[in-house]
Amino acid sequence: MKYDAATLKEMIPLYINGRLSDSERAAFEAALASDPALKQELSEFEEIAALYPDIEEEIPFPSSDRVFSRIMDNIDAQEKKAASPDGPGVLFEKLVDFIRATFFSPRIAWAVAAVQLVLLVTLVGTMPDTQDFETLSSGGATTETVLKINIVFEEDAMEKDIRALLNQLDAGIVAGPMANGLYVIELTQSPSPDDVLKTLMDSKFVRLAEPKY
Amino acid sequence: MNRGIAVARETRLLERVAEGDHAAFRELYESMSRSIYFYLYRILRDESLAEDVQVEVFTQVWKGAGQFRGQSQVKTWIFGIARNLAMNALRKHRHHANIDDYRDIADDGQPNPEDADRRRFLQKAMDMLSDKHRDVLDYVFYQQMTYQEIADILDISENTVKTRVFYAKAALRKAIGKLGVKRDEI
Repeated sequence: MKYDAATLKEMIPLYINGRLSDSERAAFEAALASDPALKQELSEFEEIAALYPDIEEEIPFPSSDRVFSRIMDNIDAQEKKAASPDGPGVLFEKLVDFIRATFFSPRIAWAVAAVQLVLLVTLVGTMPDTQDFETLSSGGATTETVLKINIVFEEDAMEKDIRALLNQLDAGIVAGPMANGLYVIELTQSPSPDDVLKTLMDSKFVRLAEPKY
Repeated sequence: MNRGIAVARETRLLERVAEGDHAAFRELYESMSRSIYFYLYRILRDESLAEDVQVEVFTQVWKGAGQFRGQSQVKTWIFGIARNLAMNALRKHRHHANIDDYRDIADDGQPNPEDADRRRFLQKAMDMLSDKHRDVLDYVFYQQMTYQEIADILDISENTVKTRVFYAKAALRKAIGKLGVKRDEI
């Protein structure tokens, strides 16, 4: 099979790594014999590849045994914590595992949805006419606070990623972008600032997040 | 080892890890720890931080082995975990890469001074690359990954990876120029 010049060029790194199939390699080598530009490009890439043994030599690799022993200690510690009966995080993880296991089957998921629908209809049908409860927004004291956060997103964060992150936090952009890429976002759902900041900083789409005072 | 055989072996090992097999976990760790540490160190540029993150990566592998659905290769799955944890660590530690963190390669003991000089120049030039460009060259030439494998880890398209590899090479050429060396002089 013959490949065009652009495809052959793209094959160079894979050729160096031995990641081409037999037929691709044969076609590449045939093209190489008659294409000095491809040959030149290959030699430049080979020069880069040849740097790696030296780069590797400079990496201070730690003792494999010591790191493995740290990993096992870390796993033990986490498993002990998980086995602790009163760990709320553990209960949550178990609940998540249970939900995952349960809803993995579409049939069960539909059955649960059907039960929920029946319950909903029953509850709405039997609700008293008089309202004997008060919503937070119906007056009196409210615990709702507004949290504003200065935020800079990563350059490669896509709009859909940012939107999904903000939706997850029920947050909205209220200012920005400024010349330095800064946005201000606002949350109104009685947020715990530490949790919100942790979620933001843990996101791969956020470069910087700090409360706006 | 043929990559297809390696992929099948890693998958089998991870299946055993999911069943709680410590020996399989050790084997998987031994087969990947060096490349994962190299990767983490090149991103974090800090010995102890790279080690801490490596501990966390393999802890996650142990805990998450049962959730692996085989939609990607085991290797790219583990690199994905490593990348996420490294990025989190970078943000937390605000540890910025500094060209001065790199030592020059000493000429002493090199059999051929001309070769040593050439490599020194090229490596200096490589240190001048952006993290993104250096990263993609590492994936290709150290980790020996295909464009698709890199795309899976970075969650970008295969075409973007291809473009980035060639931009990285062009940037390297530019960096060599900045060092005041013509290509045919090195």
